[in-house]
Amino acid sequence: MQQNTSQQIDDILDSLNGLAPASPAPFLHTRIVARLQREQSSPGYIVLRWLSRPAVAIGLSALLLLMNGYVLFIDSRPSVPTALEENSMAMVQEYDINFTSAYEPLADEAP
Amino acid sequence: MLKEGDGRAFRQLVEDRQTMVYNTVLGMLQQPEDAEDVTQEVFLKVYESIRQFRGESALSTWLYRITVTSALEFLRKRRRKKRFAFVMSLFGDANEPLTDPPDFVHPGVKLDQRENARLLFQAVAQLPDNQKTAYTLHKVEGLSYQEAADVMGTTVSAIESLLHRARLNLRKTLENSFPDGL
Repeated sequence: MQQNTSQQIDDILDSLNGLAPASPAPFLHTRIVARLQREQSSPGYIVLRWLSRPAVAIGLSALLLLMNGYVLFIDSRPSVPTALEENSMAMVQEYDINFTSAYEPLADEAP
Repeated sequence: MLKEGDGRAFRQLVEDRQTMVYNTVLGMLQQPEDAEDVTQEVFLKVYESIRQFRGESALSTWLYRITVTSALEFLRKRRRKKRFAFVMSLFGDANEPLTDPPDFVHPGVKLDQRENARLLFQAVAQLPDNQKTAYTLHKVEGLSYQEAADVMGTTVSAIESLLHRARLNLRKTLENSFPDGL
């Protein structure tokens, strides 16, 4: 029984011997050309095609790098207080209004 | 001529190689409609990327590589869809069918081998992707070990090992399918 089963499995494993190749339905080339034309006329394809041009891709990458560099440059500069900020600081110091919370008790109200 | 985008050369390529591409894809997907769809995709990719073909390998090897990659991509997409449908069915919203495609019989199988081939293709569908690819290239497409190794970008001994493991796995699957004997 065991030997019989093993033989039948061997037969199954050998069932593809002498397999003839399968062919697609006729006029495959016509269907491929129709699909190509359909895809080439879609807006997504036109945009992707434009973006994948080397000049456009390199130009956009360079622009992105420049923008990143510019942002880094701006961030790394030491901040210089403007005239308005200087006036505000002076007023805060003069009137002693540098408490941060409305619930913070004033010095003379403290128990 | 093909590299220059010549329409006649492309038509010639499709006519010469359509059986090779379709037969490989059909062996891997086991679904004629999907195989036809992926075959079209393969030739579209060839049309788009023929300028990148540097002639380092044979045209047929390059074409087989695109074919195998496209078929594997399709299989992964199909598995993802199936998983998604399963998750959706847990929430009671099953629009996608959960069932596997009906039993596949390759049209090139000899008449007296149809039942055996049907059982074999069921087992092949359960193989891991690399074993399935090696098995299809060798047994369905009839490539030699060397040719299959070139397509899969590996060595002949690796192909031998893949085919050996594939055969063991197929035997195990077939034995499990018939616990009481055939």
